[in-house]
Amino acid sequence: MQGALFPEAEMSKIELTNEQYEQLCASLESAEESEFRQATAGIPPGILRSQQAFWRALPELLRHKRNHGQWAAFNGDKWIGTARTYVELIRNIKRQGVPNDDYYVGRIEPDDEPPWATIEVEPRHGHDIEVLPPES
Amino acid sequence: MKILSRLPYSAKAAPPIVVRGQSMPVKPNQIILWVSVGVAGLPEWDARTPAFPAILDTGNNFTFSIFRSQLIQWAGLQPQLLRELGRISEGGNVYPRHEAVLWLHPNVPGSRDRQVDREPLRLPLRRGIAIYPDTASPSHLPLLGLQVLTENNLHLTIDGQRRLVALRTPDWRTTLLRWLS
Repeated sequence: MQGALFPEAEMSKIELTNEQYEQLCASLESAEESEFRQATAGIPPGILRSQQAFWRALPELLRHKRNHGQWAAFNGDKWIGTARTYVELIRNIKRQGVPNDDYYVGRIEPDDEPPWATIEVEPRHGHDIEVLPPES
Repeated sequence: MKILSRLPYSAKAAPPIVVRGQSMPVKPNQIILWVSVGVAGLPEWDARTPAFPAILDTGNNFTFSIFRSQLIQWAGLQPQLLRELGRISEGGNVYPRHEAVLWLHPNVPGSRDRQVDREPLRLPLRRGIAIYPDTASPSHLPLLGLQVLTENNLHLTIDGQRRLVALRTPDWRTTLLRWLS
């Protein structure tokens, strides 16, 4: 009955052996890994590690309402601190002598995408447009 | 606090803006404001930081975008001084985003000129700024997108009737206006 309603679903069923299933999982993982490597290629490793630590800590930081809108800094996996303003936190980082390529400062607010994500931006064709007078 | 006060824009072609000897056309209905870009790790405003014009583009869904040559020649910054945070993807092309702080200069009320005797407003950007590679000649001024206003809780008013723009940080007036609307 289901086959008659959804013939395409019937056709797309494939049976895999355990070995084939593991191979498929491995290739999907490596595709994900290569996408991640490509997206983060230009980010210095110390900053990327700090971004990942911030992203892991964000759900816990968001649990406390008083943190919302504040800034948090990480040096690799090490939490440096939180502050009401970005400037306050930067001063703290400088005081601690954290190397320039080894920290990340993120804002504590709900976010769908990690700090290293590639952001989709609307193309800016409009700025090259000239409005011409109508042809006579 | 008022940042932009009765900033005019024109529905007709406006006179071009000259930046470091380079003349940039201003098209009708473009809102021009003055900004500076700095290294995010420097907490204080330095009055020697150069200011340059940008287009306020509320249709742009990113923070701030600038061509590499504009960053070097107008902002006085080499891109490698700004730490890379990730990338943006625009129409299939990928460009880097760099950590930076944006300073927005108040205007002389009723004029497009910036107020040189007032300190600009610091606008931290958690996603950084995008740097476009150079084309033969950058085709437009840097773009300040809506995300800058949103991230920094700024209030923008566009008076299309008088062609004036106002921008302010949250205060009792914005609270009152929200309450009235």
